[in-house]
Amino acid sequence: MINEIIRINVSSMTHTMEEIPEKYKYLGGRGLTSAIVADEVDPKTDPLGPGNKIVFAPGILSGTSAPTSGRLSVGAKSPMTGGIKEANAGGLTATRLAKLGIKALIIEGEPNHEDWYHLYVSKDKIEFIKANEHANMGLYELIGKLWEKYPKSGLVGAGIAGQRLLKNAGIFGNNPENTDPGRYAGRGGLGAVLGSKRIIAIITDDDGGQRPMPKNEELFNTGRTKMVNALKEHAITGGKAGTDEGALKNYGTNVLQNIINEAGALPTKNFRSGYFEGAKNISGEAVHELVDEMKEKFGDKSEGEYGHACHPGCIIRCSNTVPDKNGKLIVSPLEYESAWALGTNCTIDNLEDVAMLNRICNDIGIDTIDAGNALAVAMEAGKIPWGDGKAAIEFMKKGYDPNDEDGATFMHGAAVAAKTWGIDRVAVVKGQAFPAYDPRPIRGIGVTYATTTMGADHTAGYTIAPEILGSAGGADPRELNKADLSRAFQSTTAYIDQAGYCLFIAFAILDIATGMEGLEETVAGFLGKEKYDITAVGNKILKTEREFNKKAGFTKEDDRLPKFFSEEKLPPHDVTFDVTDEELDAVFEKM
Amino acid sequence: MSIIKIHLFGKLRRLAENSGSTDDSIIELNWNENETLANLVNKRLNLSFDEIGEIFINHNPITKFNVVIPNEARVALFAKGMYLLCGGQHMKGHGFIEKRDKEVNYW
Ligand code: SF4
Repeated sequence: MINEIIRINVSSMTHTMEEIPEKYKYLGGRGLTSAIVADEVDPKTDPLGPGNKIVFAPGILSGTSAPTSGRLSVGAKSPMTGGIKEANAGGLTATRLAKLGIKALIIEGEPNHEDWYHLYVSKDKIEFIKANEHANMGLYELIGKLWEKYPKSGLVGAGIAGQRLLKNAGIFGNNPENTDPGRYAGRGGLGAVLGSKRIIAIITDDDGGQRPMPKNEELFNTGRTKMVNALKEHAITGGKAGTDEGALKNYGTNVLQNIINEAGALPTKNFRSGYFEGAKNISGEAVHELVDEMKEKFGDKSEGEYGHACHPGCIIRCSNTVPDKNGKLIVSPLEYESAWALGTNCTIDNLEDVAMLNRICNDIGIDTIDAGNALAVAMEAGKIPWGDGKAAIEFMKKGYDPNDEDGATFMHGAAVAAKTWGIDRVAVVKGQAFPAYDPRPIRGIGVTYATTTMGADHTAGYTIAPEILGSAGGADPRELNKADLSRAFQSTTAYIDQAGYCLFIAFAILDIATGMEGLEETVAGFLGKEKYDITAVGNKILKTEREFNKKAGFTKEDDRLPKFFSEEKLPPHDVTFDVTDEELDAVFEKM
Repeated sequence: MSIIKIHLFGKLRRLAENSGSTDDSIIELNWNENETLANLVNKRLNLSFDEIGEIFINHNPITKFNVVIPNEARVALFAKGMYLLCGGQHMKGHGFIEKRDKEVNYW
């Protein structure tokens, strides 16, 4: 197989292999998933019906020697937002698919049976494996069983929530050690789309596969060196775990828990305050200290870790493993967004409880951000006391029981939970819950939450391409208004997602100009193009996605934040979200 | 009483008496009228700005070292490498992480 699209039809239980068409030749990751979904899925189709398709695509550079580039994009029409969706994750599957020469795996059709299957993909065969005994199984147990039979395989799939077609079902992925299913393409309910095809797991085995080689090796290598150097040099992405250098290697993304708290923008108690007294207890610093303590106590037997890589070839290594008091793994990773959603937003400040809540999400197969927002809604409804971690754990366990109504409502995510339980206060855009930055003190992120094609999503905008800086006149993003800045962020981010790089390269490449060159040169070198215009490519992806959403029935009115953000002042800054509707509309009108 | 409170994070916690990750690592100092952040950091705390990442005064991110510290200020100092990231980048009105050469009027 080389440069191919694999099409799996679950109606006929067959597969075909197609050479990548010319129009997709220079696409990968999000660019490819969104193009295929836009071309092949009717925007008005039922997301859980026969017309929807789910697409798995490694990034353009996945499987190559470009650093931190092993991301897997998953795309479909989202059952949560009703619009187009791409979610991406680390894990093993992107590099496995890339080494097998598979550019995209498309699952389509409607099963005409009641059985569950795994899909096994290797160099020599693609087969359906009956898996009824694995249905409704917790994912920690499932990945263990699958590795016994298929050691070293990449695993992605739908957990209990996805199999029950619940809207907050994510696509799980195993980590490189197969100790946790926590590498989630979590957002937008893509796990339910896979569940609707009656597939539990996709098992990829790259034995006999080959590393994808660049067409222009010299340009690729030049870019690669620039990227490696920028990532090593930058104070955030560089350094070494266990030393004074390197924020992400030491504290992970959860370094932000204390920082956003000091910024007065940490959404607390379902977005009532921007400051949480208990933030420090569940912060990246607290995880770091706990890992060190357990290492001291149990030595190599401790399973706690920071500076962990979520996929082979990541040199940033922001992931971690949170141990319990016996040094045993609770969950990997505990990221900022998850610790915030399951902790701060519910005023739970016990680290072990928060890690356990995250573990349950990973086990039943749901996205942690929406789960945390749904927990807060359950607290609003009086179903769980605010701040009670143990009660929250018991509540979440209802998800295992297929007959428990609260459990099912909760696993549909915050928007459905609020509607079902009669709660008005819910932070969602396009049906998807907010991440961990309050848009009142951080208005720029509010603009992105409102306008991104994905529903409220913080990952939609991290950095700006140099040509956008140039065209802004001042070559300085500090000259841009919030609408222009948000569009520029979103466009460059779409490009990074398509390349297969982790978004966290963004921190280094705007500060270090040669890093940005490295981004462009690795992609252009791999594809054998002289130049690969970041803005043009990013804008094209965004336009494809906007167009799909428009046809699905989205209007300007869907690009708005819930009313309470413009009416209720957030302490300690005491500000509202005062960006006008005209400013929000300007984000895409000008593109 | 005219005091300011310095909240310390990351490796800078070592300067405070309570330096655990779940402690409030705080130093209380007398407020000096017209004192700049640079003076406070370099002279009174004996730190160089190279050792420091994000800085907040009363929850606002600070880019200028010559800013004057108000009475009863809450000053937060994060160790090197600890910056507003991800969605937090928007708060400074641009995507740069470490550059502090120019202030943006975010509000
Ligand atoms: S930086 Fe973190 S999230 Fe990104 S690829 Fe590396 S370990 Fe995974």
